[in-house]
Amino acid sequence: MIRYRTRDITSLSVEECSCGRTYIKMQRVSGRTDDMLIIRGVNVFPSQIESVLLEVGQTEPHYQIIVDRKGALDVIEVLVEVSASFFSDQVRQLEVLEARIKRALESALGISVKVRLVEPKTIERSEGKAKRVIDKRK
Amino acid sequence: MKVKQISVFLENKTGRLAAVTEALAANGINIRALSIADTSDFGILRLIVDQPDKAYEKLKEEEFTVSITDVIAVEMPDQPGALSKVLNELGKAQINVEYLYAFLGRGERGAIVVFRVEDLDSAIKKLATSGLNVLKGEELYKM
Repeated sequence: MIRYRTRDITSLSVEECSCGRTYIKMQRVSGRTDDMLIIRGVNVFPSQIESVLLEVGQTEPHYQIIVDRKGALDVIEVLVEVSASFFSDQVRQLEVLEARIKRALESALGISVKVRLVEPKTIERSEGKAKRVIDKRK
Repeated sequence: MKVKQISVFLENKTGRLAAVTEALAANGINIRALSIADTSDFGILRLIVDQPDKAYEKLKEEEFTVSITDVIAVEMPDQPGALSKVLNELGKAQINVEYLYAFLGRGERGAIVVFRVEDLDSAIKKLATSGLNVLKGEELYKM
């Protein structure tokens, strides 16, 4: 017997199939026990994004990941709150920060991402595990 | 010589600019001049107001992302060529302009141009001997 701990969540059914087969059937995967996302074929963990943001600095530790599908391709957008202490009066400085975050994320994840700076306190805070990922695909 | 300008970070969402102007109105703060630098994702609203320190405190209280930047204001005759002359003087003095915006003064006053420059203290020293009419912050706030 071979077991795989893939961390997908599903259920098994022993009912006889309409074609006559009596083996155990696995239902469609309904979720995961961890946070992993698959974006354009690449496994992405939100915790990777979090550690990149902490390393780049100059932002609040509040971020949100929005995953969507444009045509046939998955797209990922990372919203990051501007830190009040970093806020610069010059557009260039903010753009440089956005670009640095984008490069750091792309290098860590291996896929291209869109980064958007948002105003502080606009990303939902929640107790315990924050809802970091909004997956609009499906 | 330094003029206090309020800068506010605005996400590119409807209502954000209105929210700032409402907060200022609620606190009796009058805007003298303003400009917005925009990108596709966000904008930076720059304001000259009549009470800059109060505006900064109140906007911070309302949880806007706000900072104060020192800029310079130069008054010039309201006629063709006046701005060119000023920009040439700044060029000769090697003063690097990051951005600028302008408004017309009332009554006897000419046109006023607000500049953000790269090295403010050095620019102020150079402008002192340039013959240009550099205004004090207080003059602008009260205009």
